[in-house]
Amino acid sequence: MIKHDDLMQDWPSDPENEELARLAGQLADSPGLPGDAMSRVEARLEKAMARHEQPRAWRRVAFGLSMAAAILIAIASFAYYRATDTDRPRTRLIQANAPSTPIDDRVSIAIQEPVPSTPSGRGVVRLDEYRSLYMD
Amino acid sequence: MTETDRQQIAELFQRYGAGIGRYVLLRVGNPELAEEITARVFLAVVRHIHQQKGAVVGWLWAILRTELSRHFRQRRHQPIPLDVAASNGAPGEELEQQERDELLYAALQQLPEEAQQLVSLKFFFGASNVEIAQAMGWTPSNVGVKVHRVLKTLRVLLRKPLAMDATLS
Repeated sequence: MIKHDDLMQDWPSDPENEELARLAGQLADSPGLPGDAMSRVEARLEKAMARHEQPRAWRRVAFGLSMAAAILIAIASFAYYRATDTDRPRTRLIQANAPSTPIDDRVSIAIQEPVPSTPSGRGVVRLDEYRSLYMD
Repeated sequence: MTETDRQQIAELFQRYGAGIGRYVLLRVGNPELAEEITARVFLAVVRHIHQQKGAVVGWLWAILRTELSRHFRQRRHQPIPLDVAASNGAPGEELEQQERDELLYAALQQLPEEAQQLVSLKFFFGASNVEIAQAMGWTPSNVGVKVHRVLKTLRVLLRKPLAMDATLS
């Protein structure tokens, strides 16, 4: 319910104010929906809010599940690499037992003597043949 | 929807629910329809609460207008005639109230859109001058002056049918 003073707040002074205040009061006191109708509206509102919260709950569950899956994958990967990594110490052991002589890796290459190029009898440009092109 | 949204919606319902119901009842003249439309208004509030910015009364008013427009588009506004209400055995006081509501509705309909919004926010929503000022982009004292002016116009409009009744009798 709106207070009488609130209805008239900031009104300019006017001899008709009392009458206008009565009209304002009538407007403010006009009948509303019955209480049970408002309760039903509120119940529908609560239900709608609960429905809108469900996706959020599902998101939370999905996030939890994906985190658990990620952790499981990480653990499984770690275990798998740990298991396959057993070869490495053996390799290191073989390397440790190997003789310490340096590896001699030589390849013999035969280099041929350079062959001097023989100049051909004909010039690159056959001037005599095409003399007519540049002679007047 | 966060817990804050939930709280905000509950507060909006507590603060403005009854006022919105009253306004819708005045507009449609049927309690069951008014209940349905009021519920739709708050269901829309639930759906769009994350979009709410600025003055909340202005936002609520926009939702209310949308829902009322949708209703009137889908179904032609047919207020219950007085003789039908009388045949249903409605008490005399209720009939008088219904008649007053119809006159008031007719007078409100003649006001410009901005004045209708002002009357609705002030006298139906029960919004303060500060809240209305935020929604309409005015100063709070300006709201008081405009309310005063609109009431004067409304009073003139309400007197017209009475004057017509007097000439008929």
